[in-house]
Amino acid sequence: MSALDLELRVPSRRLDASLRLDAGQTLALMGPNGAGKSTLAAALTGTLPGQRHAVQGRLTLGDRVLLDSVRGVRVPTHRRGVGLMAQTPLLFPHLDAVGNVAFGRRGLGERRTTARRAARRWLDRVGAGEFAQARPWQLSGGQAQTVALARALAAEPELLVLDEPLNALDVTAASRMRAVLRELLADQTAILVTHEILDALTLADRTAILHDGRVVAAGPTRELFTRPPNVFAARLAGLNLVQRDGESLAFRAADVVVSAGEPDATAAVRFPVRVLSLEPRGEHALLRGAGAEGIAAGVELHAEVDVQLASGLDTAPGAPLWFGVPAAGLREY
Amino acid sequence: MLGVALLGLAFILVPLLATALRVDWAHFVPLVTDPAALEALGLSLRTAGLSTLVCLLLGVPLAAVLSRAEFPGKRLMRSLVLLPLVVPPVVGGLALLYAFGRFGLLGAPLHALGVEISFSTTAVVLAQAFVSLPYLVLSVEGSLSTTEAGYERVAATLGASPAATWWRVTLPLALPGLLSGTVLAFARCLGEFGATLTFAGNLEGVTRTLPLDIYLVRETDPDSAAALALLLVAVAVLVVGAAHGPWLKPRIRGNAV
Repeated sequence: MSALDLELRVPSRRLDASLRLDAGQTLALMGPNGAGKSTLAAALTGTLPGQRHAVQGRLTLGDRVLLDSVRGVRVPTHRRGVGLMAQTPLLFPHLDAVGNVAFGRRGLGERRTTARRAARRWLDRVGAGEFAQARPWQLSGGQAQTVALARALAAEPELLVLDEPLNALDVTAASRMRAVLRELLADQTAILVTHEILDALTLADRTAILHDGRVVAAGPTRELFTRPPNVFAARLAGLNLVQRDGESLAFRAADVVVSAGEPDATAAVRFPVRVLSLEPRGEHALLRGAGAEGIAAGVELHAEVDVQLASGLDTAPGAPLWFGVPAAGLREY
Repeated sequence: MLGVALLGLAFILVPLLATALRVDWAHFVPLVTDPAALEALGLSLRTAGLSTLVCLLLGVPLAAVLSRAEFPGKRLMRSLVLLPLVVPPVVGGLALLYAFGRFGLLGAPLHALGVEISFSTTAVVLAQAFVSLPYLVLSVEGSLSTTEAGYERVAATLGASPAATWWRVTLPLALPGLLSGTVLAFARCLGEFGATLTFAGNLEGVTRTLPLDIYLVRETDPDSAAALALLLVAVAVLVVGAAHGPWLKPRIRGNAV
């Protein structure tokens, strides 16, 4: 198994990122739209359209140098051993599902029958064995995407790049796909581009956050989101963020204490808010409010409240309430 | 609207119908199985087949470059490729003569080497290929351009070399356009007259294809001309039928995402 080590720059897209990944691990690549996630993914596979010379830096996979712009090394896509699973399945329409999955096996030099046998095994592993003979247009989005996963894995890539693979799927299909990925990515060196923290938490050992083309935070996924090291990670983790004197205050919805009157001294910070909505979440409810005045004016804040407590408060939209946060729940960046 | 459409259809059908009515049906079979006619038909089919092959060998790479590569002058190149479509065939034949004739640009050195092209069967093939090439290029290029380039990118990430991608992905996806382009080019070759007459002449058994034969016998034997004309119409109908047959319909569709 191989380790990934990259230091890539794509000046035309303002990407300048460095990352490392141990063999067999999965790295989630997160960040807002336009942060450079897909550019980085395409730079890894060598498929940046029309920009072949725009990628600079160094990229090594295991003991192979795939890119070294200083020494003029630029391994073409088909010899990189970097697989790709994109947002859309892009199954070859002239081949059935087995033919699609066998495509990369034929490239490995396998004979047709051997390749198709291996392809069937991969289809079974992703739970798409029953679609073996199906043509791409006969498959639903979720089915097609699982076939695309089997196809990418069957080519035995040293590194698999997954570019928002669940994006085009409905909730049920995405959940099934997540389960399949969880199992199959266990020993696969992989980079998963996603904007869903859930994908990162369930699938990725490590997470890197891109912002404006740079890696602004990286670390073990759980650690990154339970103790966000900076405001970028905090924002992705869904924490409330309020600016105060040039720094950012972050706190969890669960740490917010809601009251009708102004909170007492146990609250380190307090915000008058107007209710936006109350959304049931089982035994709890998510109370969304907009800061009414002070440093949180206009900022949307979330509080997790007990249903019992919520029933004792006026939570009609527009109603005035107070959000208080104890010192222990506050993080400052 | 419908009336005008029917008028348009009639415009095409009436002359064909008139041909069928003009034919002396009692003698149809002897007329079209006349040895000279059969020889002309055989020559037509053989040369059209060869010319289509030439079109494929030259046209597919042309179409691939026009649809995939990016370079300055690409629009100009496309216009040039389409030129034989708009140049009168007689002019095309003359141009070929100036290039490959005994005293032509390339013909003179070839003649010195003992290679004679003009007024030979080779000249028939060149004339047909010259006028038919644009049909094939247009059709294949259209088919390649509508194919999502993403498929080729995916093939590369699956380890397929550019050559393997071409054979296993690009070409199969462009197959409908390739087939219809081939059939169109073949049909155009079969009907070629002007360039052939100018460049290859009208030598029985060597360059006298069916259209040339029809033109020749028209003066001396109108019955034979009508019968042969109908024969050519029948072959054309078969070819067009093949080009629009159900097997070329969307067997290949986009992904249902």
